[in-house]
Formats: sequence, structure tokens, C-alpha cells
Amino acid sequence: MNIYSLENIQPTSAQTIQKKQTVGEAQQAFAQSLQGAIENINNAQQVSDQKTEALAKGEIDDLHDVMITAQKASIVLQTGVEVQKKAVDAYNEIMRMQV
Amino acid sequence: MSIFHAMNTSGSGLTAQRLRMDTISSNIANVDTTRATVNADGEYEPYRRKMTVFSPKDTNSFSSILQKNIHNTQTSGNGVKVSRIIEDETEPFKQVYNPNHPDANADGYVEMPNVDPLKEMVDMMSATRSYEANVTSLNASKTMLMKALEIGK
Repeated sequence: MNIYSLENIQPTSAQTIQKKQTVGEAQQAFAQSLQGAIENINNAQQVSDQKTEALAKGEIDDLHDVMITAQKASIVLQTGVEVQKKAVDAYNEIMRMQV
Repeated sequence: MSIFHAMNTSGSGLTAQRLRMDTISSNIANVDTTRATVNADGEYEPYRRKMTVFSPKDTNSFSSILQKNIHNTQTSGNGVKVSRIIEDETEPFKQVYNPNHPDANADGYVEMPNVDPLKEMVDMMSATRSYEANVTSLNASKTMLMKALEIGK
């Protein structure tokens, strides 16, 4: 609790570091986090695919496990799509800005 | 702890109820089994009714106890697991008079399994309902997550 109150009084060093970041670095950081997020979505889809295949082969005996994994993959994908929509919305908003 | 914690918990409930259903099926299938095991005297013993014992998952692990003490709160739990499958020793075998049976004793009585079909049917309905309840809670978890995605729309 004390740590938070100290942070409010003094400007944090993290903020000053962020200000020094160049445009290129910021873009790269965004690209990396986007790539990480997309990889996570892809992993969830792949796990779901593997489980479905194992079920078809008869290697799995918990049907609900396959269904839950599929639902998780669906939710993760939906979340990714929502984030992508928000990013595109922000981009469009800036493109519409009058100069 | 992740966003899928509730789903994993419901999943453990589904697995446990399915295993319970498996033992009930085994009990019903073996309702007339007279030669399940061989006892010390070399005689056949009938099938004994099996029961599942549930216990909460991972409540005694080091990490859960540490978390509980650091945050001074109870954790939400990690679901359920079948800790043991035990045999019903309380109920005696049923004695049925059937001198023609190959396993009949000198008096003509056959020891039959201590499985009560009525009890198994009730257990089966209970397992089915519990499974459905877990599916319902899982669907509710999914609905909550999908609703969260609608924030700001």
C-alpha cells in the first residue's frame, strides 16, 4: 500500500523512459505484442484441432474435454477479433483527423 | 488463475461425474456376477458394489496454502477430483436359494452381489443431474466472458 502512495508523489522513472522511446521502437513493441497475441490465438486453435483429431482417432475418452477446449479456443479468437477491431477503429479515427 | 479458471473447475466436475457414472454402470452390469474374486480359501466371491469418493482438488498443496496465507483469504478452489474408488463393505452379500447354480453352497444358497438396482438408478440420476449442472455453469461462464467482450460496443 505504501508503494502506491509513493508513486503518486514522485514522477516514476518508467514514464521518463517511455518518453525517450522513438517512433520506430514503439512500432516494433506494438508489432511484437500483436504477434505474441496472434501466436496465443493460433496455439489455442491448434490445441483444439489436436484434441478433435485425437477424438476422431479414438485416443480421447473425455468428450467434454474436447468441447471445453473448443469453447476456450472460440473465446480466445473472439477476444483477438475484438482487440483487432478496436485497433482498426483507433487507426481510422486518427486517419479522419483534420490537418 | 486465468480467465478460464471457472471453466476448468466445471471441467473437473464433469470428469468426476463421468467417473462416478462409470462405476455405477459397472455396478449395474455386475448385478449377477458371482465370480468376481477368489478369496483366501480358493472359493469364488461375488462382485462388491463400488463407490466413488470425491475430494476437492489441490487444497493441501504448498502453493495454495502459501497464497491463502499471503492474501489472508480463501482461494476459490480448483475443482473436484475422485480421490478413491472404494468397495461397499457395509452391505452383506444377498443369499439366494438356487441349488442348480454352479456356485451354490451345501445348503443350496448362492451369494449374490450386494448391488441394489434401485439404489444404482437413484445414483445414476444424481450423476446425470450433477453433470448437467456442471454443463450449465460452464455455459454461464462462457456467456459471462462473451458479455465482457461486448463492453464498449
